Amino acid sequence: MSKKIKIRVKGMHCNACKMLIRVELEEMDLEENIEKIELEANNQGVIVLKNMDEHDIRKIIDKINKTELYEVI
Amino acid sequence: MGKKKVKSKSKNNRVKTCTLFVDGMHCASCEVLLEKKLLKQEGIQAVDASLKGRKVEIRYVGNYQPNIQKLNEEFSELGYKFNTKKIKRNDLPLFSVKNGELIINHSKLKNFFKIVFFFISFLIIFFGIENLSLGRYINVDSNSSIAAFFVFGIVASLSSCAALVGGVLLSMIKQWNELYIDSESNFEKASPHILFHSGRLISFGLFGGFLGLLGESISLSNNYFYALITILVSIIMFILALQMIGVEWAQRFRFGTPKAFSKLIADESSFKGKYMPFFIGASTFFLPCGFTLIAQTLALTSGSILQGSLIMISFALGTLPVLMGISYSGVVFNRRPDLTAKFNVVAGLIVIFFAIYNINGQLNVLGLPSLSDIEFFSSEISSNLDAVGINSEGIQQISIIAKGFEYIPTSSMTLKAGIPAKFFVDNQGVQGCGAAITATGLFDGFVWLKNGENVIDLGIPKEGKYKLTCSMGMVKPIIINVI
Repeated sequence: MSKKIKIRVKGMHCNACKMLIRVELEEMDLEENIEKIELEANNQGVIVLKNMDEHDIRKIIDKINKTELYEVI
Repeated sequence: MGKKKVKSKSKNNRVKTCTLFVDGMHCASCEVLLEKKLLKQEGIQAVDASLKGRKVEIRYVGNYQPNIQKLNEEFSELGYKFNTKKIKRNDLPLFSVKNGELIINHSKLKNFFKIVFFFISFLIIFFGIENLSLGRYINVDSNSSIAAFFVFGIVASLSSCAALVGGVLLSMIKQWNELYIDSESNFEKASPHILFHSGRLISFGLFGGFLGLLGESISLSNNYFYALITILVSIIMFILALQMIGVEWAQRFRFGTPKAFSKLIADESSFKGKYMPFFIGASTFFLPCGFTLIAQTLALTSGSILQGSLIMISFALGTLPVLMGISYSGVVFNRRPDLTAKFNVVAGLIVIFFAIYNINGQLNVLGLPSLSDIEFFSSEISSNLDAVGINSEGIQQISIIAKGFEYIPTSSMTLKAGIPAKFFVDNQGVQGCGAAITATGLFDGFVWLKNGENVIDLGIPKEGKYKLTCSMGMVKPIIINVI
């Protein structure tokens, strides 16, 4: 089932972090699914993706955590 | 990240390398981003970005030749600028010793003096305004006009409210700027400030009306309660200020909102601390700046919802220009990244000063040791150690004049324990928080001084030393000795 998901990421603090997350998602051919990537207070960011499968979500979390710069919370 | 990123396929062309220096790299994410973005360029085989050297080493093949101009065009949006020459960056500390010789980093020294200059200028202006005792020109009661409360608000914003509410606002600027760091729109950058001031105005209107409704059925004179709130807020301000000036230890503290509260005040999907400034602004109603307490008391005594609301809104509107000035400076400096760091340091120092100023005042209110006790800073008025006499009714009497922003003893300030005592205060136009007098332990809470003679029954005083000051602890304390 396709759905919209929101992933909160610890360690995002600047524009480069936003861009890097976007690049990581583009590498997974998910650019069409990106609804928004935003910074939040307290060194966090949020990624909102649309039309996502459960299977992809796991892969995204793994990819983000593998950067060693960010951690999905 | 030090780990070289390499394309999997390579042609058998001769591999060439070049090093480019990159201005705009500031974190580990920049390293990875640059590596990934550069690797997408046709001809680039491998990239190794180094934050430490602020450079990228590029291995390339074929006809590719790094074109600085083209790269700068492509990467300018990301905030990077390539250069073949090393970017001069002076990372030496302010003072260092090399081969027994003292090395001064003149660039940092210049910045240091600039920061010190701004901070000292601020202190001169702050104490200069305080010494002007502007409050003496404005006296309000519950029948005063709305315009009078507006002017009262202006005076407040140049005095104790600047130290408390201004300090809170200033300490939030760094966080709000970070929230909208990548925003192009000035309106978006200003939105937390707009929310803060809107929240403040609305809460002052609503709670002012509520106080008018309650009338005099409640009392705003619990000095312990207000002192603890002020000390708590000042400690948070202090930690935020340390974060502003870049103290590593302070970065571990995060003042988040409990999740349950966040969900209550905003839809999670759109919440990114967005509406929090509104609630911070609204909560300033409960920050016990001396002038605010006076306005709140007058809203209470007005006994009318409309009058109470108008009193508090006018007061808040009066404080608005100065608070807006603080907001404006924050937004302007956010547009100038080169100045943001300096602004944060100056603002951080000012907030630290405000936090210490507030805590010191509240220690006075609680009758505890404070900086005011140190002889150098001491504003205590030495009192005659001979106890006052006992009148024909068997009562001891001490007296002061309350005038401007000080309390002037007109009798000995020493009492004998175990004998009933009364305290006479001749209010000859005391201003600001000076109108709310307190001596923790000697009498309860604050006593609001009316014009002219005021008599405070001290009951049967117990032995001890008591600090007589105002509700904010900012009026020079007088020690009352009970022996």
